[in-house]
Amino acid sequence: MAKMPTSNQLLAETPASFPDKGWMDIKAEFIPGRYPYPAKAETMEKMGFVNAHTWAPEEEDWNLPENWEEILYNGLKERLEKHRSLKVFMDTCVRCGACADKCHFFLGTNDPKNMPVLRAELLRSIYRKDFTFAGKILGKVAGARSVNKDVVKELFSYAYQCTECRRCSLFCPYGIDTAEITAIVRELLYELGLGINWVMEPVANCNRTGNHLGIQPHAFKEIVEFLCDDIETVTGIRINPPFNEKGHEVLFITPSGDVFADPGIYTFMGYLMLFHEIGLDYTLSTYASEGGNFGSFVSFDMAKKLNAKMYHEAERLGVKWILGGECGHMWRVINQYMATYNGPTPPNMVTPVSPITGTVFENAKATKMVHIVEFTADLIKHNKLNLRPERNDHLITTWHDSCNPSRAMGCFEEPRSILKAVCNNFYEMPEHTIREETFCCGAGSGLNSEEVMNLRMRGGLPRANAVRWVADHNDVNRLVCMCALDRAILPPLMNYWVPGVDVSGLHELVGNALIMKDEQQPRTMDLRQEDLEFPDPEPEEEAGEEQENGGEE
Amino acid sequence: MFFLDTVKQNKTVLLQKWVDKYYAAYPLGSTGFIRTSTDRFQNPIGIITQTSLNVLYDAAIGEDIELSDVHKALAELVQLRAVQEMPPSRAVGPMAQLKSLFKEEVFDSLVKENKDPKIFQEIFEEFFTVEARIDGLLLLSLDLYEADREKVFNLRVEEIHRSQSQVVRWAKLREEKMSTNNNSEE
Repeated sequence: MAKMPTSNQLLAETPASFPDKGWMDIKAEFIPGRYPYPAKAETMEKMGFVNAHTWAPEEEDWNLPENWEEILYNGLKERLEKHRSLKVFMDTCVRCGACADKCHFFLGTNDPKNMPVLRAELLRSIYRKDFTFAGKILGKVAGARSVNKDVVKELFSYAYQCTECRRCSLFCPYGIDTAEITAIVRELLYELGLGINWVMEPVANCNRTGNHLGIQPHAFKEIVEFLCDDIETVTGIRINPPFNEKGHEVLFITPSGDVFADPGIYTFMGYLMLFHEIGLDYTLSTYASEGGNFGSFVSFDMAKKLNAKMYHEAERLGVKWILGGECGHMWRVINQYMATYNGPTPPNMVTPVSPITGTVFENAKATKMVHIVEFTADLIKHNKLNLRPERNDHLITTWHDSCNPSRAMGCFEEPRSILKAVCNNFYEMPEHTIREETFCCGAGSGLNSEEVMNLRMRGGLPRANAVRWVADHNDVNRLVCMCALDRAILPPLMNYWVPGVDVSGLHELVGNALIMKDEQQPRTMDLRQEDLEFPDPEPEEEAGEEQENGGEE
Repeated sequence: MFFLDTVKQNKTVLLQKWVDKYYAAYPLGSTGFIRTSTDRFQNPIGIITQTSLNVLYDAAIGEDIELSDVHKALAELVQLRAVQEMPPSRAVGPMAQLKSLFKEEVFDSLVKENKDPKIFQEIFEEFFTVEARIDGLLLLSLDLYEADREKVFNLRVEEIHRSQSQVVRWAKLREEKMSTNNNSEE
């Protein structure tokens, strides 16, 4: 009789000791669910990538261009000269490990190469070999290694298991920014013709038609009109937002996900309602209809190219300043790079001033672009909005600090002040999981393709784990955020780890709470057209109450 | 109560050994970290594993625990393993290893030490009861694992729907308009 293996034998392939090979000799594995699909060669060619080619991660041969070593060497050399920060990051790490357990991918996957220190070391080892004296002479002893095709594969694997969230850099005593290292590794890979479809397709679409799905202007306009239909259903007010009109004060640009995707559309409806209510003199644009900059997931040059549309359109339409919607990487590009990418601003632009409160946004002097959360927080602070937070009473909220606007911009208090003004139920997630220490959604920077859902669930675990805490202890049922990618990424993450918690943008809740002049009273449903658990009181009832109160006084 | 008393008294040691069976699926370079960090937010994998197994250990040896707590602990543990790229056997298999752990660490020596047929029988009965409970937990794990995998596939489909919801709405209306126009022309 054949011997059946016991359960212990079946499970015996577990590591009983440290691996006998060093990390440099362990090859990257390409398991379905762990890597994003490659970009189509023709899409990349159109965007000017000369080495675009067809390849598949699971295959042994990636069809790299013949002179791939030269491309990689020259590419790194060029970037070391161009970015002094990269040179510093390559030289300074002392491998203290402070970053290691700060990375959500390491926490969620336990793969040592997902420690930020080791992720950077993948590139640093190549740098040492080619660009440092010690590395050239001592090789492995000095932590240097020569590149080979397996190293390229490893770079690809781990550059796409990093969301460039920068949590690690917060804890690094030297401030080494792994996000920048990842971004540069990705640039180098694109030069070799290795890109991912989820990023490249939107880049090509944004370049061609202005938004990430490649929707043409007339359809874009019609879709926005659908959302205006929905606003009319909820409030009885018809809004007709201007498109591509010259002579307005403000150009409003938001991620196009807010127009196309659930639940971002409710946030978009909130924006339109707010603008209508305060009488903002603005226009939308179908040319610059994508605030999110997918180019920033490819290369600095591509980010610059796509970002340029904002000022082009601002100049063409003659607006004074730009108001930007709730987005993440859009704001990293604006806050950190826009002024140097495409500045100085067109001559028609001026330092933004809120037309309602008169507040001068000095912080936006360089870019002439204001974050809508700052804008709305200012309106609320000056009591310019008539709000009924009770309309959000069915929601028990918590706030997810989206990495880019929070960690990269310091936007912590403004969103919280808005949220507290529009919703009566708000609970913070535990310390060390919010504000600058916020955990990433697990799939930013181009990783939210559906084929890597397993990886996303692992990478998003630390975030979900903190949400679960407030869901269990405070009955939180709504996770609010200010990033379009978050609004796409967090719903499946919540569905998996914390079912019962839904996701909203901040201005969806603003739209719910906003009492609009001339709106049909009482409002009975929220922007999702779900019945309000605590509907507005009947107008007469309210009037009666006021009289009663007046009588008491 | 020979067997049950022993596994209760030695819970700390046995539980840690069982937890290690689960940790064994992770690269050794990082097991140090998941073992040592006690912060539930900085070490979710470690803390979820330890917390769940603590409850499941008690469930296996027949302590008085609410069934809902057992289910919650098991669900959270399996949910974790279901997205970690391991074969199902590896994901839920360490549940079965509690049996061999009890056998090797407790049962075998108890049997050797106690020759009295009455005690002997008691030890056997207790051990088999615990084994049966572990089998139950293992079967339940399989169901949960399968449900979690299905959920991941569904998340992928739902995401595609969500990401283009308004474009689909637009396309459907276009289609309706076109068919109405065609009908009126006819």
